[in-house]
Formats: sequence, C-alpha cells, structure tokens
Amino acid sequence: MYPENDENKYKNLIDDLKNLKKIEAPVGFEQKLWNKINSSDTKEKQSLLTKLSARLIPAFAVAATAILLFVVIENSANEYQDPFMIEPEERTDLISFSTDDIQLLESEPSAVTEKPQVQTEEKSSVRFRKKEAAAPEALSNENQIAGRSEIIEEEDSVTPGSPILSSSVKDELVGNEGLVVPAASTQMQQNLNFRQVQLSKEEQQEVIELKSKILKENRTKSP
Amino acid sequence: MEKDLRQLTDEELILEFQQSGNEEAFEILVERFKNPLMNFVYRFLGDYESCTDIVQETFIKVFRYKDSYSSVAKFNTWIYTIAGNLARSEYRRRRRRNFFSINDYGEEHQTYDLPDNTYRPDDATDSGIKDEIIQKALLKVKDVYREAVILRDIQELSYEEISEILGIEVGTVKSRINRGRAQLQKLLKHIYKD
Repeated sequence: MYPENDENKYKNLIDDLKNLKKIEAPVGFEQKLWNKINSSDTKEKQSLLTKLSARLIPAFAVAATAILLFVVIENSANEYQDPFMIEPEERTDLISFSTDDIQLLESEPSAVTEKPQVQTEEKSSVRFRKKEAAAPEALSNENQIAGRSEIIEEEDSVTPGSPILSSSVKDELVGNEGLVVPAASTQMQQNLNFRQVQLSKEEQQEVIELKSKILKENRTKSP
Repeated sequence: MEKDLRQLTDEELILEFQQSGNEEAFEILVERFKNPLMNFVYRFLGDYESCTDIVQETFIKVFRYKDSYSSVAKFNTWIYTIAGNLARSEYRRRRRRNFFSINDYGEEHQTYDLPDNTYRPDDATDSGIKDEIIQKALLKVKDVYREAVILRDIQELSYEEISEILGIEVGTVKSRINRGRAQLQKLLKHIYKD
C-alpha cells in the first residue's frame, strides 16, 4: 500500500530530517534527575499520607452517618405500632346491660336485683381494684360524672350477701313493672368520647312502658 | 567476578535494576537514552526547557515504576511510550493555554493566525537556519502525523517499533508517516521545489 518509492518521493525531506542537528541533554542532567528522584520520593510519601487521610476522613464520616441513621430508623421502627394491629383493651370498668337482662328481670321479679348485682359486683370489684391503683386525681375526675359518686359509695360497702344497689339506684333501675332500666345506659369515664344520657323520671317511665308494650306484643305473637 | 553492566543490553539492564535495585544499571540506561529522548521530545514540542523537564520526568517514571516493565516488550519502545505520552500531554496543555491567551485579546469567538516572519528565502542557504525552518514546519504538522514522522525519519525506528510505541497498527503508522511527510513537504515547498 505504501511502496518503497514513497520514501524516494520524499528522499530529500527524509535526508534533511535525518541530518537535523541532534539535541543533547544539558550539563548536569543526571544530577538534576537524582535530585528530583530524591525529592519526589519524599513528596510521594507525604502526598500518600495526605491522600489517605483526605480519603479516610470523608469515608469515616459517611460510615458514621450511616450507622447513626440505621440506629435511629431501627428504634423508631420498633416504637411504631400499626393502629389496626393493636389488640383492643378489655373495658372492665364498664357496666353493661343487655335486653336479656331485662327479660330475665321481668320473668323473675325476685331476681331483679340479684342478677345485675352479681354482674355489677364482679365488674365493680375489678373496677375498684383499678381505681385503687389509679391516681387520686383521676378518681376525683371520675366522680365528677353525674351519678357516679353514688355508685362508688355503694360499691365501697359491698359485702357478700348484702344488697349492692342503693335505694336511689334501685329507683332508677327498677321500674313499675319490675323492669330494669339503666339510669345512664353507660358508665362514663372522663376523656372518652362517649355520650352520656341522663333520662328524667318521666322519660324513664315512658321507655319502660314502651319496652313492656313491645314485650307483650312479642309474647302474644309467639305461641 | 563483577558484572560489566555496560556490556548488557537495555532489557538486561532494566531487569538488573528491577531485581537487585542496582542504581548503576539505571544510570547506564539514563546515559543511553537521555539524548535520543531529548531529540524526540524537542522535535515534537520545539521547546528546550520543557523538553528537559519531560525527559527527566520520563526517567523518574522509569525509576519509580520499574516493576511495571514487562520483559516481553523492548525497553526502548517502553521508554519512548512514556516520553511520548508526557510530550503529548504537555503539547495539549500548551495548545489550550495559547488558545485562551490569544482569545483574551480578540473579540468573542475570534481566533488569529500568528504570522511567521522567521522565514526568508535569501537566508535559507545556511544549514542552521534550514534546520530552524524545518523545525518550525514540523511543528505545524498535525501532532499525530508529526509524532510518527519524528519516530521514523529522525529517530530512525522501525515501523514495528513505532506501531508498538503509538499503540496502532503498522498500516496506520505508514499512513500517518506518509501524510506527515506530505504536509511537511507542502510547508517546505520553497525548499523542495521539484
């Protein structure tokens, strides 16, 4: 591709290039070279140290930050609880009345006061134990709820075999026809989002009448 | 019996330096190669001061990285490769610097060709001046062609050696040499009229 006659074509040029004056190294070239080698050795050692430290410091900082972040994230993950996964707490401090209780009371007027008494006794004993543990401030707050102080007084005097409910409570709970109507259908605690309903005597009477009417209708329907 | 290091080839000397750390072997290599390398780098850059620095830097690299030399390669191609790389880096750095410094005086995006008033046909008879003219013309040849022409026509290396130094095929080496010669002849047409 590039025959020898190419060299002939540029023969004069090539000859001139070959005959160019040879450049020589300056005097003391070797001495300067050794000086540079010796100084570059020390420089290299220094620069190696500085380079290492310059690289190590940011690397150490990054590692420390990563560890710190890991620890923080790990701790916060342990503290976090999914609200949908939390087991609901058992509300032992509430007294509940069901319609079964009402039926039971109607059929056995003598047991009217006893059945709920047992239930309330069991629950109130639990509640009472809780209250002992609770702060006195919380206790006083609870007592502020209407009707609560009376019940607590009653609970304080609970003894086996003795009637639990006071006459005033009984008046509220036991109607004309032996039916039990909760004075306030739920026992409230402060700071909970419950609605507290207090019925007047007339309203209670009305409710009892309506309930008894429904019960009678049910009875006539059933064979 | 003490070895006469001066009788050893370049490859044997660098191996001696590698294995025993004998600095005398290194000194002999410096003595053998300092002038050829000075010639090569000077013809490529055209500046004696920079040329001396680059050749010294080349030897420092040989001294420091002696272990990276493989006995498979020829020593002269290895040391020419180091010198060539350093010379090319310096050339590019200068070109960038010149470009910016010239542009600083002109309008935006405007570049200038500096007039070369050194050549006068009536003085061309003197061999010293002729050398200077050739050197100036050589510096105007594209750097990749110039390097190949210097290695072939001034350093008188074989195509294979140049191929190894530049890391290109022999055919590419020949092509570059040919193009470089053509450019140079064109630049020196007032000397080579025929």
